[in-house]
Amino acid sequence: MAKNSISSSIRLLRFHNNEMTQQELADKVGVTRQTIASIEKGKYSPSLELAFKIAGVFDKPLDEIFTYNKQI
Amino acid sequence: MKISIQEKRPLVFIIIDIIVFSIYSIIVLDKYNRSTMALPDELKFWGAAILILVPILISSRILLYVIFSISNTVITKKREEKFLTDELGNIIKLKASRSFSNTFMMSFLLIMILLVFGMSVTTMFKLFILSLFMSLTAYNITEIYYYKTGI
Repeated sequence: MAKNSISSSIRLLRFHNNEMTQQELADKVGVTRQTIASIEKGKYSPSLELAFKIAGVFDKPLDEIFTYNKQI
Repeated sequence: MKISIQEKRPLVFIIIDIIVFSIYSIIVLDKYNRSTMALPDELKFWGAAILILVPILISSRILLYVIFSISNTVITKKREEKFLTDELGNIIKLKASRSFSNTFMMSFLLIMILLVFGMSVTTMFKLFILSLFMSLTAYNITEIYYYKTGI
């Protein structure tokens, strides 16, 4: 179950980018594959720096990749 | 069940620690039981035993982890990841360090309480070695827990 209130569309974006693997994305942004997997599952909210790096890889604005879900 | 290298590493360290602590404790206890020492010599003996344990633990961890890493690469045919720790790994390490410190501090206080109630110096040093092992295990278990559940 997702723990954090930030969800991402990284999985979908990877799929649309020639089915990029988690490892390929991880290498591009300089983190481990485990971190990418955790972000995708909503288990970890990335730092602002990492979020910008991921946005840079997909050439998309930040809010198109990450969504903050308000918890009531 | 698929386990990532980040989860395997603390598991390997738990196994290494069990091996090293068991062997070292057997050797030290055997040496202690075979000798008859006065209290000042006994303090020297246990002080040296703990001091020697630290480099032995570090070097055996390095050596055994290298062996594991090579065999893991051979078996899985996958090279170890380029980045072993990143921002997530660093946060998890910090949380694990907190577990280590808390466990060691609690053990230390418990040992001091037991000393007040008349525990022998020898038992105190034995418990110090045990608390070191428990703290390292707490560190590794925390790492596994956070890699599994996320932060």
